[in-house]
Amino acid sequence: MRVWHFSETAYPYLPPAEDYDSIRITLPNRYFDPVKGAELYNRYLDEWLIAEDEGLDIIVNEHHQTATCIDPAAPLILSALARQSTKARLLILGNPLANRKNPVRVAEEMAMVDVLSEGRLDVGFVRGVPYEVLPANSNPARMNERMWEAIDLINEAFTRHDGPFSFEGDFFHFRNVNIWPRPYQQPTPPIWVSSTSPGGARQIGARGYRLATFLTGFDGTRKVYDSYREGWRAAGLGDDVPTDRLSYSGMVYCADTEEEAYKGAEKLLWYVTSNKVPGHLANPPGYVPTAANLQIMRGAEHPLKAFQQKPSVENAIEKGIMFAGTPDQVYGQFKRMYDYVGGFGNFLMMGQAGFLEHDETVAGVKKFAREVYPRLQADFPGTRVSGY
Amino acid sequence: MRHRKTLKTGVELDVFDKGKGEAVLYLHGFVGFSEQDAFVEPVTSGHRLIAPTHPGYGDAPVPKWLDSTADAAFIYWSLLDELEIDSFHLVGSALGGWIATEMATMSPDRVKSLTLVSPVGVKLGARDALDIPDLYKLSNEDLYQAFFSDKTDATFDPDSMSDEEVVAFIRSREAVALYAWEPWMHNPKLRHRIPRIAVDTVLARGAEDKIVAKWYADGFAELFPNATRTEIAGAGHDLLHDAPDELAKLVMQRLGSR
Repeated sequence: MRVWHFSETAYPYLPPAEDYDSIRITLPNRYFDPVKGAELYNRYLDEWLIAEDEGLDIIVNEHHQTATCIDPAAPLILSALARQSTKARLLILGNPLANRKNPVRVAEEMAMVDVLSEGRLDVGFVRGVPYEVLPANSNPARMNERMWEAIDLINEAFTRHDGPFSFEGDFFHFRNVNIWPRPYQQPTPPIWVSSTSPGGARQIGARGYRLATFLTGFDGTRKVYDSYREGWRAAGLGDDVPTDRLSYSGMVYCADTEEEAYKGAEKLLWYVTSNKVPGHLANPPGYVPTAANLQIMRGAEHPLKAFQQKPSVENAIEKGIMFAGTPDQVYGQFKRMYDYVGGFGNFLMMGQAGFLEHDETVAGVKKFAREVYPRLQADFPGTRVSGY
Repeated sequence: MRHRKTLKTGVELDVFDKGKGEAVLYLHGFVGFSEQDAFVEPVTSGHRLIAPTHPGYGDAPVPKWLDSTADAAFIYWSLLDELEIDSFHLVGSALGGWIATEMATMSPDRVKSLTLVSPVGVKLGARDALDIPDLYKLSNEDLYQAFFSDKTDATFDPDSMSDEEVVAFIRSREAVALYAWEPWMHNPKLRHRIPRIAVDTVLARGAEDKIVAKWYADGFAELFPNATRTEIAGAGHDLLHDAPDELAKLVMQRLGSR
């Protein structure tokens, strides 16, 4: 088991939620104080480096035009980390390919970070969450098709080394692809793709890429992993799916006492509670299939929606989206999730969110890294085969 | 009547086809085509009304290569060729007005008359303001009301709609995104092609239209060599659904010309 420290680099200093319609897309940037922003960037970078010192790996992400994440260019923060860190693996999850007009540029950025970090890059590709289409002015129609074509092009750019090649697909057209530098890792850095739906997971499994899923809880995660394994086997990649192909992401706070841990965990809930976005911005046309939109119109809710109405640490633990308590408790919660979903070799740890201050973040990370992580590494090695 | 037609190119189209006589091609707006008697009855008495459903609306498969109103325009030319209709009256509303204008720039001699109702498709205003409001920043309720005038009771209530109607609404939002997302609601080339359209053109607009502004309709009409403007009092954006009798009157005035 590898555990990766994640902060979504939130800017939490906002007026009361009643004062704005949406925390994403339309929130005026007059609420962003650049001086506080500078402190936050440096603080979040420090926390990633402390996590590295504690033996954890590093994951970064990006979002646009939102206070929930002030990293709109993950390759930039990643390049700072590539220079400042020395041993952690660096996962970017990810490059929002359906919204990037030039996949060759993405290949160049990723190859550069891989070389600068001497081969420590894990490169993630994502379609981009629904809130991203307006900021990117990206057509929500055919996003999946664009993402997969871009991944194919980037893969070719990574692996072809005999001078220029051309690429003329349905969406992307290049006459001369010949990236300098090429990746440090051969043939490519490990490739990750995220999905929280069984349909998406099946396609990722069929290609053998690493799958990341976020806050999908017990049953959601199990369905996503089942589909991944089905896709993997149907594509003839073998009967055994190694656990290191699968990852899960949830909130984690660990302390000596349950009371202390819940205090930190409470602050992590900002992650799911501070996401006020009106429905029409959260669900652009074509982002989800027509049939799913019909279900939404008929009252179906995202599994997290009910939780957001009544958020609590206990409820979050019960749903399998949070792991909080003493080291023994956290280990037990992990084991329960691991066994239920058939195992995973990576855990993306949301160890910082919203108003969780620096000292609190570091205390939680250290407690986890020192008293839980060694047990997870020993009991759940990434070489295990996933399944029940 | 309405049927699924497979063109020689393999494109599948849902086409409403009724009546005999001079052909009228009606291209629907943001809301899909539906057989409003007040519009269909007068037009089909003595004329042939052909009203295709734009690819992306309805449940016909969408060609993988289709992503623009010009693509739709070429498909409709193929439809007319296969129906052996040489010349016809062309009527388009909103998105359909954009497709109609694209069609007319391609083969202006085959168009007997052009009637545009609150069309979109060109950029006329300032660089830092949208000519057509961002429909995707409206809730479903607000969006639905924007198609109608205030006099019409246009409450969006999915609970009172059949699954088929809800799906049609969802598909219409998806289709408009496919055609009009970027550049938003226009083809930058189109205004430079419009001077090819010498035929008599009427550009109409419901005076209560909340989507296409009067200044936009005026400016759009000025791009044509021979266009006149008309405002329809009391009507909202989508005449087919908000004021079908007014739409019928407008079209009937045009038939028999040239």
